[in-house]
Amino acid sequence: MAELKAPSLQSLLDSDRGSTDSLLAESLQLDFDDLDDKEYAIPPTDVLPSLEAVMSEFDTELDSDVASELGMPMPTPSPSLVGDGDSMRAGGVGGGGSIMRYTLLHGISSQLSSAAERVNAGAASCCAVAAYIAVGTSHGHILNFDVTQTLRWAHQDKHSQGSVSSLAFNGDSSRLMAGYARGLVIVMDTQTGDALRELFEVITPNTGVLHVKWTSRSSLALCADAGGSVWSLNFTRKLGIRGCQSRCLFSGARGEVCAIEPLLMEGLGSRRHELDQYCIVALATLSKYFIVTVRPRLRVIKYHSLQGPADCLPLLAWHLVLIQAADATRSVDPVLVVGRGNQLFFHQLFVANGRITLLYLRHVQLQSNLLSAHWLGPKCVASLDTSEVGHLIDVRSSKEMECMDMANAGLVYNSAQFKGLATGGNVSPAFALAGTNACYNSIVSRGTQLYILGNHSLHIIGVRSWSERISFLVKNHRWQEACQLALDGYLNSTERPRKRLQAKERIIQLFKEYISNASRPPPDYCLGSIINCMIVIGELDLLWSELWERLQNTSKTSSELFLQHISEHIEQESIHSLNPIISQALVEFWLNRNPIKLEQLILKLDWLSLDLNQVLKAVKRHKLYKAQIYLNTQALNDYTSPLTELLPLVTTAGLEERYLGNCLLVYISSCLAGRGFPSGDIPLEHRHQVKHDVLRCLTSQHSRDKEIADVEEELPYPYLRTLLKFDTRETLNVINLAFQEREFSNDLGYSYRKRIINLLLEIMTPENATWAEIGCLLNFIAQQISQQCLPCDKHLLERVLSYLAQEHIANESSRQHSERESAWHELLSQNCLNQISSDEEQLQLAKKAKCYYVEEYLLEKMKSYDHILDCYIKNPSRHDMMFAYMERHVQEPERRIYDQLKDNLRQMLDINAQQTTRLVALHYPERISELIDLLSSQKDDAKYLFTPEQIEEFLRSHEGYRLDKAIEIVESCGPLKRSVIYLYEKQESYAKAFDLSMDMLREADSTNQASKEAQEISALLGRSVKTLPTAQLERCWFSLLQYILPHQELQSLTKSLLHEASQHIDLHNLVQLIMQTHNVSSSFGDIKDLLMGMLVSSRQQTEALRTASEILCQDLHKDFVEQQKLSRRGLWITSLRCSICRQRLGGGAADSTVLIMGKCGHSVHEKCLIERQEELKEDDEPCPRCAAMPAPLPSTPSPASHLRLNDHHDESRMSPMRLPCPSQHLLSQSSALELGALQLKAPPRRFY
Amino acid sequence: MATTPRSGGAAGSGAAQRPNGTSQNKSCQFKLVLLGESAVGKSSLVLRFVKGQFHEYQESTIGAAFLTQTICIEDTVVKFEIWDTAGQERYHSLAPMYYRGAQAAIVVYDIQNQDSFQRAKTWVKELHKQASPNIVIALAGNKADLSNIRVVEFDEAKQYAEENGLLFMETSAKTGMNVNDIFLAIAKKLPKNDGANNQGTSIRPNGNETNRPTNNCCK
Repeated sequence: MAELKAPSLQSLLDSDRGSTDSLLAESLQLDFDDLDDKEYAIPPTDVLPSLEAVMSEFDTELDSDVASELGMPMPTPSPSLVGDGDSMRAGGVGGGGSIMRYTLLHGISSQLSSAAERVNAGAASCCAVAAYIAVGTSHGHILNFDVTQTLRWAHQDKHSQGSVSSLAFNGDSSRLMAGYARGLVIVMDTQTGDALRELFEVITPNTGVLHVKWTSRSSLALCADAGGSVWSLNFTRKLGIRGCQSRCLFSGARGEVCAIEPLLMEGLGSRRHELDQYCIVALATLSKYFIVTVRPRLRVIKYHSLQGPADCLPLLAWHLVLIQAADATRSVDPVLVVGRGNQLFFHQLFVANGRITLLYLRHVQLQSNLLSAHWLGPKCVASLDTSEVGHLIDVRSSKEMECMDMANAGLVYNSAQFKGLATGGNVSPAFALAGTNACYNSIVSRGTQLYILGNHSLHIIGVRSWSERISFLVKNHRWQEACQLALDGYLNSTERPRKRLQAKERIIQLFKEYISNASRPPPDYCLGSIINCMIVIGELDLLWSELWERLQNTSKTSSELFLQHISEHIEQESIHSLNPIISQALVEFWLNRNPIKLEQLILKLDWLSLDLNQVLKAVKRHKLYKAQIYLNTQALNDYTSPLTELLPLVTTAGLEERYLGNCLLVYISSCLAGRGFPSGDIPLEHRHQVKHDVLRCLTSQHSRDKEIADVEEELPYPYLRTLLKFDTRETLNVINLAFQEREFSNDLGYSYRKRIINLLLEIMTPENATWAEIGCLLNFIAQQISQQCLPCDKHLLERVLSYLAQEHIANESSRQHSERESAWHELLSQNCLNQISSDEEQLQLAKKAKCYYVEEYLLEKMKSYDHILDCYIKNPSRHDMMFAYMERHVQEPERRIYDQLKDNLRQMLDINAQQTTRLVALHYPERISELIDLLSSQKDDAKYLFTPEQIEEFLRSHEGYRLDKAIEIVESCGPLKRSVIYLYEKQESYAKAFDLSMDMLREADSTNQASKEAQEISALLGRSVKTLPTAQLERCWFSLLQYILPHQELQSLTKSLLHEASQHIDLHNLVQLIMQTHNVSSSFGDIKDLLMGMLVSSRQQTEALRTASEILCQDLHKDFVEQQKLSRRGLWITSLRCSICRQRLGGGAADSTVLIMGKCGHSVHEKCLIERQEELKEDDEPCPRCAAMPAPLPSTPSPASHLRLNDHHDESRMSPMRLPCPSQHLLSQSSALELGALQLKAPPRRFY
Repeated sequence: MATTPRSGGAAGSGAAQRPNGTSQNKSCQFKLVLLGESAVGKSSLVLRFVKGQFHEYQESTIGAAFLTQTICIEDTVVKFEIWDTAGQERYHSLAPMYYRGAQAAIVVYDIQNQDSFQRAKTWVKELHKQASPNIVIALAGNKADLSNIRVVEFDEAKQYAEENGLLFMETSAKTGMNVNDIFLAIAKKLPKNDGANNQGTSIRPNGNETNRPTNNCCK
């Protein structure tokens, strides 16, 4: 790289100062690398390094050192990173701090510091970056640096125009335009630093410059001033004299423009875009943004309102982006991002039908307000928020990928220009407020880098490419992440072959780095991911050779780890073949650990990668039968040796042998069917041979060893014999399956079949096999014959039939029996037995052998339907079919369904009463009575249709029957006492129920039942408490107890029964009863509890009585106190006249008592009141006066009663202890409120 | 993103390394297969070469066994991946699988057994017909320690080898005679680096195997 850089830039700059065409061409390529080179046929540019390339080169060297030197926090990964696969470039998962790269430009920063110190240049105020880096200072100096950070020239303003407020390079970096805080605009030659034009009066007088920008036309520039106006500067050069025409595009009077951003279509290379002919500018005020064409004529294309916080400026940025529309058309169009506050809006600008159109794309909302928003490449936007944290936002997923704190950069703000401090502050307040956060000229972007200007420093935030990120992660030994990232990139490039190749190369490079690194820290932890990487990209050879060798050299554990990882991949079937070196190690490794696992691995591996000598020997030693069979068949193409070697080992003894036996059965079956073991198919060309070989091997008369050694006692056909001994049924199944193959279906095949059957018969002699096994065989043969798979052979048939028709077979299970039957049935239905015996004979045989199904079939066949139902009835498995049969043939008179039904009615009812009755009701409704008669005539041995339990359940679960009728019915039915009891109880005639229960108890024949009955009774009595009178209840209990107590066997119950009883009957009587009835042997213990209970309850009752009397006394006392209090109360009267007779009170006759109404204070003579009451026929004594008047409070009743206190003779009228009426009233009503109300109302009192 | 494909060392390393397995020009890897009738001493020969051991009663090989050995010739590290096939007739069908991708083959016969020599000849024929045309074939007359009861004469075999362009040596796994030499001779005759940058060690038709090379067999 070094030799690349030196000649290109240096020589260019030195030799050809005037022309920077090549540099331009180079810089044009920058932003565009991301578009797929292949798709756009852009030639690779290896010729010159770009500025970015040069920058990033020294970045990587400095990277971390720089940051630490400056006390800058290293880029910290933010927690909220995207996990999107295709978020970045070639696609990376989340940032993890690897995406953003921070760099401090040391050279420029030190130059800035020294300029400030030595020539009093002041702090930096703005910057511009193109092929050069220009920095303006607050004292009007402009410093121009080249890419190597060397100062090319410095320019000092001689006109005291204040700070440099804005800088801009033109498209080819040949001119630098600078704007000053006091309004001067100058244009300089970037090569020499000469000011070519000094323009003093091109903008609103007495305002400062905010922005200077070059447009896409080389002679046209734009300038925005602090007054909010935008001016176009058209540079002319007439007759060698440089001039400038300035024109006001927008006046600040109609909305102050804060941001301008011309669309520069650079980067498209040779391709032309429709928008090239226009000169387009985006403008933003504090409330709107506009898209404007300046050339060919000034026109507003579109404007939108733009809301946001008052102290946030609008942000504008263009970039060319490859856009894939929904209809899969692709286009490269400029996309404008407009930001304000925490919002970002994306708009696409394109030409449709000759009109420039702005299309809204998407909207991103961030967490905090933004200072700046710049594109870094076409896929992400970098922004700084107000707390100076840089965010990287992926546009496609609208998610933040990474963030980085830039607070230590000492960011320069352009607030002074916005506030117009240099020109006396003649700006609008809104503008000045918004300008507090202005960073338009101190944060600039170029390519994928963001330049951030500090007071005396320049910082770069770059975006690492996929490859660089991998390098970064590798450098920090984050292998896991690096592998993951690399793999994601590889997988994402699926559709782009060229990119995929590059990704693969990068991964291989990563692998190499890993290998060369693996020795120092043994990075076992990421071995898995690196292996995974290599397997995914398919570079297995590198794994086997380099990595394996390296690991073997490091340690044993790491190579074991490697093997384990590889095994996992084999199990997941992501690799099928290994290097033999690895497979040897693998086999060795798993043999020592887990041979079962080894077997699984072998089954999944290609045999060519195995060392057969090693594996086969190991497999045999460890009895990995499946693997052995697999290898023998696949590799050695030897299908018989598994049989000859393994079959002798099969027995039914151990688990292992059984497993082997089953394996072999499956193996034989799949061989005979032409399938491979354990999966796949036998190659077509071998298939026939394999089948033939296997079969011949199976049916060979002597085992292979026998041919060599003379083992005399070996029975013939050892292999088949072993299998049959192992599992007759399954072996026969295997043969049956094999018979269905094509090979057995021609004439030759038939003879094979016959031979095999004969062999089987020869082997399965009664001496060598159980009857069950022979049964299996004969069933099998019968099946074969009936399926016409075997030629009919009379001898064979007879033999089979003799088995089938056996009358009794010892230990025959129902399954065997039904198999026998069905085999017979099959034979019959195929007419195979015609030649050896007639149907009648068969019928006899079937009857003897209890093969009812066969019998049924034969009857059906012979059309003798008379007793066919018998067969059904006798055969439990055919019961269901019986009813179907009857249904089906009920209409056919010759089947005599009804007669048979009649004969067998009872049995059928037993089998399924419901179905039977349904059948009868459906088809023979007119004969029901006949049938019932029949049934009732057989009643002597009556078996009821319902069990007593069912009846009881029915009674319990149903409502609405008439009890008396039900009792009548149930009683008439005899032994349904329990139901009767239930009904009695329901009828509430407990006495009867009890009597019945007692009967049952007496009749109970076992202790168990008796105790159950007794409990039932006690429960019954418990329920009857409410209805049964006490005396009767007591009597019941007594009779129960009298029965229970003498019975020794019911001792266990006595206690609980006594307890129950004690709740309901008098304890005294109970004890008496016990004393009288208890037999001698009874101990005190039985009644101890009872007595204790008596004592306790007596104590409780005494206590209760005492308490009750105490409470009563208290009440009385309280009342008395109350009464006394009342009697002592003073009374007032309103007038001294009786309110009825208007006579004076007290003054009259001595016998006239005076009543005073306590509430109202009216007073009357008693005599008068009585008279009045008699008149009015009123019982109570309301105050006559109040009653006469309309009551002021009708709701409150007048005192309802009074107390007579006769001083002369009150002996007969009332006792002193008599409770006063109000109290009685009170007690009955018992309301605290009323009590309060009444207490206020004193009772009337007699006055003398 | 400006520099995605061209940054770092990818371009540089791409030039230095071949994409195939031979990563350095100082090392190469060959697949070698041993053929011959059963019990002529193939496994013993390999065992002697790889481990320097000899067993009087070598178990017969099942299918094929795999071994590796690395040797140095001049400045090149040669790694042999050796497939020692089983000689029994029943494994004959396996052999093509192994010699198909092999760069070298050693056909072994027993100098006491004329049949084995005939069998070796048929193997050579088969190799010429079926194997890759560039395969280097060596003929080894094994059990040379028992030369007093030999049946196959040295000259006869030598003549046959020359006619068919084979390397030829009489070897003895028991004594170790010529065992390393035959492998070395093969290694020398094999084209290094697959013809990518011929550095003089290309095929030398008259590879004079009789001159003793410095036998620096390194692990």
